[in-house]
Amino acid sequence: MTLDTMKRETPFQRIFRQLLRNRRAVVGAILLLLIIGLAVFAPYVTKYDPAKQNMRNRLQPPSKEHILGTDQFGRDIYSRVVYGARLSLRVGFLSISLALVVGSALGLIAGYYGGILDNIIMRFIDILLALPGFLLALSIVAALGPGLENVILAIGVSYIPSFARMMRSSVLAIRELDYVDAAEALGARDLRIILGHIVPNAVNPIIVMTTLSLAGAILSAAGLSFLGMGAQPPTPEWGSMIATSRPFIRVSHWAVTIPGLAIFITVMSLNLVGDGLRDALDPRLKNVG
Amino acid sequence: MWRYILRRLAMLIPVLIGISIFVFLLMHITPGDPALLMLGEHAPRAQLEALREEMGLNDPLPVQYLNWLKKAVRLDFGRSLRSKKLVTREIVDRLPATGQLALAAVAFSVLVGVPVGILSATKPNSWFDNVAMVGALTGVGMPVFWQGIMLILIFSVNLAWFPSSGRMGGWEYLVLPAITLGTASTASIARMTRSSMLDVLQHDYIRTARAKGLSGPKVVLIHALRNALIPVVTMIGLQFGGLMSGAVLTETIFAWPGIGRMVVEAINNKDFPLVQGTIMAFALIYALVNLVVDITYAFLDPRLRLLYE
Repeated sequence: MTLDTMKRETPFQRIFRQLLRNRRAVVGAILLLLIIGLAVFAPYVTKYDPAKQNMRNRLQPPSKEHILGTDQFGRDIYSRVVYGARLSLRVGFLSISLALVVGSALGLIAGYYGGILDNIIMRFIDILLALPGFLLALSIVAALGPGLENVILAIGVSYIPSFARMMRSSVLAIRELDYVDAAEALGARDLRIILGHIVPNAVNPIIVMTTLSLAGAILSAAGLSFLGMGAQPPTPEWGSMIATSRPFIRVSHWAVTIPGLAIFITVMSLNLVGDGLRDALDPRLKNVG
Repeated sequence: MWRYILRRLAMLIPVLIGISIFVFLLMHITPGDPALLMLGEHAPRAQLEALREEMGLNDPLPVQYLNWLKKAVRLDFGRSLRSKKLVTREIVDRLPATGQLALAAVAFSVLVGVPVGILSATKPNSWFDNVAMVGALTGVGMPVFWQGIMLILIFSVNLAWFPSSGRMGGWEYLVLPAITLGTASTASIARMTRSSMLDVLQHDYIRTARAKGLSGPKVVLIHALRNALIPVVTMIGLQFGGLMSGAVLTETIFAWPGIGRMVVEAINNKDFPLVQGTIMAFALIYALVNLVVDITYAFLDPRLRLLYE
């Protein structure tokens, strides 16, 4: 790369170029785009209604008619898995958005203002951390009752501590830098300093964490639905599909194998992209587990 | 060292009080009246009211909490609504099964993860390294419950090597659940061992050891491994949260009679005292394990030990 191209490259272009050089991240991104594409265009890429039963066509292996076979109610597994992608991505996206907004805000306030506010917020975070994430989500769903909306809320809450802690530690580091002192000396208001100087510089680790958390959230949501606490049948949700088809596994395993593979590929592609982003955005973390 | 341990123990108290408020409130925002759930929908009004009074459900919430907490610190969480047994008894009865499963899973993940990580680090970018790291990525991304079912399908249904569920005593019942529960941590431990080992192998003292003419395995196992294992030990400790979460799903799939399966059943049965007790038990175990991990870490790393001596 010449000095000339270096000058003209925006940070976004640099990150994109580094991502493209990372073979695993590219594979992850392609898979992810494919899954998003299938989810968005679900009605156009499927032949059958995901809820339509056909009792004469139960538990069929893959065929020309049903490329991934049928389940115990004769429903097309391919259609159900494609519609399931919509649900899983939505649950992941909404729950992590909640955690991102609330967690980052809490971390920002705690880190920027310090003192008693910091103490109160961090003790609250400690309490949320007293249970492993999935168990915290499980207990919240236990209280609120089963359903996808409650799962979104529960998983969102369980991810708040990670975002709050990450944001707080970034803010603490950035606060000490000269340009923040300079802005303060110039009389800039808190909000301006936070939004104009601190947030833009704390954003990289948050992007990485968002991607990796999305994978975790999708996995947790599928787990909760598998336990019967998330989406309820006949909703084509991957975890619940596995749970409801499990009793028939000796006759035909397709209705269990395929949704599991779908979860696995989605989670893996997000992890690959997340790892790639981490390498590109924060080279210091390159070799961390 | 003792001062450090005491300070860490003291820090646990506010967290446990916090989680107790959380657990208490959770069961109070739940739709449904515990008295109604206990007596059934057709119970006479007077009887329902009497039970509410007896359970303290008519008291103000803070009073209810304090009464509950007073009992909870003596490990009294009341009786299970379903089995009528003491909640503490139920937990104590089920705990050994979960402990056994968790230990077996940790043993599996260390015995597989550490050697794989070492081999990968000594031959970076070899075919072994590539296969192992793709395997590690796979292990992290696989849903626990699906992996368990797949193992049952292959090793119980098709090959008939291991039983598909239950805990009748024999080790063969433990194999599939332990592998299922241990896979994700095996993957993390292998990745951590690899990166930590790669880091250590670049140090000068390793070059000196090699220059002295020591054999490759001797350098790796004696000089490098001890230092490389420090972050791995922390990693093993950090896996415990994942293991507890995984136990809920693994025990459900394999009908393993531990507290993970119990909490799911209790939630489905709306057995509030049992849910509260089990979640408090999970929080307590989690806190204690984290404490032990921190102490071990301080013990392993002489720099940290010096700080507290």
